Amino acid sequence: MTTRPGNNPGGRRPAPFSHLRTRRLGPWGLVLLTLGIAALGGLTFWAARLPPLPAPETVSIAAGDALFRPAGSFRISERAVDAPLESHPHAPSFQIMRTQVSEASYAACVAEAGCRDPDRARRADRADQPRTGVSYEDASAYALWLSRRTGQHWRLPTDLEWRRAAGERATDDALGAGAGGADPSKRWLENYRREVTDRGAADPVKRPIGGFGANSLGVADMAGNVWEWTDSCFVNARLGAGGSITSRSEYCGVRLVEGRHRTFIITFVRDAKSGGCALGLPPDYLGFRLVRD
Amino acid sequence: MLTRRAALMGATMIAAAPLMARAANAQETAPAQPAAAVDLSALPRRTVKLVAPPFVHAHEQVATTGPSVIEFEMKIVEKETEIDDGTYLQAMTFNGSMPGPMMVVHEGDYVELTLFNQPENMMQHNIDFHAATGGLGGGALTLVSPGEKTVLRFKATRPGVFVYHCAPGGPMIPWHVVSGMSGCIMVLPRDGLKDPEGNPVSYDRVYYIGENDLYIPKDADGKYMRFADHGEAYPDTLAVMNGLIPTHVTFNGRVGALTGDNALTAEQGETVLFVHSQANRDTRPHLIGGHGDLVWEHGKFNNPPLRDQETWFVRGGSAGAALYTFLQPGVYAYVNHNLIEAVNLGATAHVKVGGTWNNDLMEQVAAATPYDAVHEATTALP
Repeated sequence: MTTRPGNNPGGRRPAPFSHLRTRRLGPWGLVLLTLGIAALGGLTFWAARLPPLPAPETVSIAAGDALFRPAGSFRISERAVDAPLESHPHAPSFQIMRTQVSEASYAACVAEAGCRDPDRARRADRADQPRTGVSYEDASAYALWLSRRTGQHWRLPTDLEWRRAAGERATDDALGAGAGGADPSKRWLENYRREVTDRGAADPVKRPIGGFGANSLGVADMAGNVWEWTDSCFVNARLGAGGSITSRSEYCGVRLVEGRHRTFIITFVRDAKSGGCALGLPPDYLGFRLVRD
Repeated sequence: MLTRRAALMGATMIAAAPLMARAANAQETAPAQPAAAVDLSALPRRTVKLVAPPFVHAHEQVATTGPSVIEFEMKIVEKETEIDDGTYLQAMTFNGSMPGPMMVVHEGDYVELTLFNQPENMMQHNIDFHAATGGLGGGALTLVSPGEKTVLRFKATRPGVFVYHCAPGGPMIPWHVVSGMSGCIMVLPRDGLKDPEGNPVSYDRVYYIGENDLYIPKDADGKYMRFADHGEAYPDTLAVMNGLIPTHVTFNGRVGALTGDNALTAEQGETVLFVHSQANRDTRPHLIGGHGDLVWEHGKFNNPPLRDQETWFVRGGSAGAALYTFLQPGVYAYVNHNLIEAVNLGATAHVKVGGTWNNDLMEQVAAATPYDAVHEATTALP
C-alpha cells in the first residue's frame, strides 16, 4: 500500500487513502477506489484479529464557554478585516493526546499498512520523537487506523479544540482595526511584521517529546516547533457593517495547521518548509495529535 | 529565527519586504492618507474575448480613442495534458491553454480581469501581472479557491510585453508556473511601435510564443510517470524541479505544437511580430534563416529596439518582442537556440512562408557533387 507510483503501470497508487476527493476520481479512480475499499475491508478483518492497542494518554479538556477567532479570509465589502470573535457557550468536553504522535506510534501504523511512509523511514524505536513530515492525508489515515485498533473514535482536532487545549499558548492573530481599512497595504505590512515577530524566536532544532514543556492544562509541546494539523478548512466570509458574518464558504483543499502561528497547508504536503504553504510563513515541521470525543 | 528559506520563499507577503522600508520612510515625510476612491465611470468600457495562443485577439496598433477600461475574463483550468507523445503533465492553466492567452491593451488603459477558479479544480490560485504596480502584481488581491471568482483592475502604465503568472505563495509558486500557469500581456504605446529613430512601425501579424520548461519524473525503468492528480504528481515533480534540468522545453504547451499542420504561416513581404515569454527560465529565441529586424530584447517599448539581431535573450520571468519582415519564401524554424532544448527537448516552431524566391539574396551555385579529393583538395585549398 506504500507502493510508489513508479512501481505500478499508469503511476497510480491503489492506496485506500490516496483519493480523499472522490469527485476527481474518474472511471479509473472508481475502480481503484473499489479495490481500495476491498483492501480496507480485508485490513479491518486482519486488524480485528490483532489484540487491541491501549489508548494513548490523553488530557481532558473540560466543557466551558469559549471565544474563538476563526482563520481564513474575512471581508467587509472588499476590505480584508480580522475575523470576528465567535462565542461558543458550553463548548463540549473532549480528550486530546497529551503528546504529539511519536515516530514509534506512526511506525506501528505503517507496519500494519494503515499509514504511508514515503521516506521509508520507519523509526519504530523512537517513542521519544514526534513524527513529522506528515500530510493531512497521512494524519487522517493514522486516525482511522488508531480508531480501528483501539475501538475508539479518534480524529484530528478542529481549530477551536486545538486552541482550547493550547490554553495560554494559543495566540490571537488579529491585526487590529488599523489593518482593516481601505488601504490594503497597511494590512500586508502589519501581517508581515507580525509573522516575523511570531516566528522570531523559532528554533529549528527538533526536540524530544516533552521538550517544549506542558501548558497549564498539562498538554505537552503545544506551539513548539512542530506545527499540528487541524481539521479546519479555509473560511472565506463576508461581514456586514455590524461585523457579523453574512455569507461564508469553505475550501478544504487546504487545512489549518496550528502552532506558534497558524497557516493553511495543502492537504497532500508533508514538508511545509520545502513545499505547500498556501498562505503565510511555513511551519518548521508538520506533526499532529488526535482528539477523542 | 527567520530562516533564509522562509525569508525568500515562505510567503507572498515576504516579497513586500522592500516595501516595508520604503513605506516607513514615506511615513516620516508624508502624513498618512486614506486610500482615495477612483472614479472611472466616465471612461469607455470594452470587453475583449481572449483567444488561445499562438494567436492574439484583434486589436488596434495605434489607439484611436483615449484610455479605456478593457474587460477580460480568464478561467483557471487544472487538467491533465499530453506534452509529448505518450507523456503527460498534470497541468494548471489560464483559460485551458499553455501558455495562457495574450492580452493587448494600450498605455494608460485599465485592465479589468475577472478570474474564475473552476469548481472542479483542486487548488487555490491567483495572478501576478508583471505589468501591474503594487499588491505583488495583483497576487495579493486575487487568491481564489475552487468555485470562486475575483475581479482585479490595474492601470497599464508602462508599454511593453510582460509576463503574468500564478503565485499563490511559497513553493506553490514555482510549481504552478512550471505546471503551465503563465502568459503575457502586451501594453502598446498609444501611438504604436517605433523604430530607433522614432518612426512608426507596424506589423501584419502577431504570434505569441509561450515557452514552458517542464519537469516530468521518471520511474525506476526510466519511463515518464503519469499521475492520477496534482497531489500525486507533486512530490516527484518537486524533486525533478529542484534539479533545475527540464525534461521538456515546449512552445505552446506541447512538443511539436507549432509544427506540421500547426506551423505558423506568413507571406513574403509581411511583417510579423513575434512575442516570446518565459516565466521561469532564460531562453534565446532565434529565427533560422531570418533575423530580428527590430528587437525589444527586454520587451519594453520605451527603449529603442535593437536592429538586425541574430539571437535575442529573453530572461526568465520576462517577455521579449521581435519584428521581422519575411524576405524569402520557404520554411523557417523559430527556436530556442540552445539547440539541445530546441531539437531534443521540444523548443521548436516552424513558419511556412509563401512567395517567390529571391536569387539575389541566395542562390545555390552548385549542388552537391563528388570531387577528386587528391587533386582538388590539395590545389584549391590552402
